[in-house]
Amino acid sequence: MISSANRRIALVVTLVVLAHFVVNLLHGQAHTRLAIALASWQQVYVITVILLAPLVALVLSWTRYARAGVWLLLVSMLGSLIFGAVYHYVIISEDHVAHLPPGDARGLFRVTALLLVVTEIVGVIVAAMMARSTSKT
Amino acid sequence: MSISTLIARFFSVSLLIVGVSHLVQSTLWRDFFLRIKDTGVAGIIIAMYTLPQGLLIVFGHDIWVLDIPVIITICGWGMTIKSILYAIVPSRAEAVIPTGPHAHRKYAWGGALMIPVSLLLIWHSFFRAV
Repeated sequence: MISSANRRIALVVTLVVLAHFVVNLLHGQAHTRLAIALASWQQVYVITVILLAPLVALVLSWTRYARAGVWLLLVSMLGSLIFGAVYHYVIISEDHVAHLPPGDARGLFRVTALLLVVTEIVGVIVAAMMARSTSKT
Repeated sequence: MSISTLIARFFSVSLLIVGVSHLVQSTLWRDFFLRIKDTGVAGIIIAMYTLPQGLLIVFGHDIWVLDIPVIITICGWGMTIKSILYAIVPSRAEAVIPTGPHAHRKYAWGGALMIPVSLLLIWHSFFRAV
């Protein structure tokens, strides 16, 4: 049985992770429709750090390992934020929002790239606050 | 039709039916799980049902793309890992079965979450996948 404080943490983690997951899927669709491929190591990074790690954090947050879940969420959201910001807004490539190949999914790509940044910043802030509060208890 | 599409259709339709059942018969699902909890072999019983479907997805629908099919892949791997854990440590299953006067609400919430996800998967597997 988890405490009411941990239950609150789990609910917030669930909301953040599900919102991030949905935006991720939409961004993946934009990648597919614009035929923007990722290198092999990027695919592994996206699947493990950006897609799976937050879901594992979600599951952990509903168990007695909620603290580990919060830390995993913090690391994965930070890793996702850095990866997304660098490839969408810094390095010039087909994955950059200003250098996309032609196609009708460019709007979807730009919106979801921005929403990824927003959800990941929220994720980092929420996870950092919760990691701080759980370390005090 | 490819084997992965067949599995996607099978999984999405069964998820919808189970989701609706959880929503409209939440007290029955609560009673069912409380009864199998009392048997002392709940982990084995749950694994018996979820392991085959999980393994079917792992071997026939192991699609790791950033798109809707990955939901099924993640569910399949989750079901497989959970089933293996429950089969080896059955007491883990008993620890997560909800008890108490409002336990049925958890099943209803679970069903309410399953329905939109299953509809999304049905739409993709029947109208977009080949």
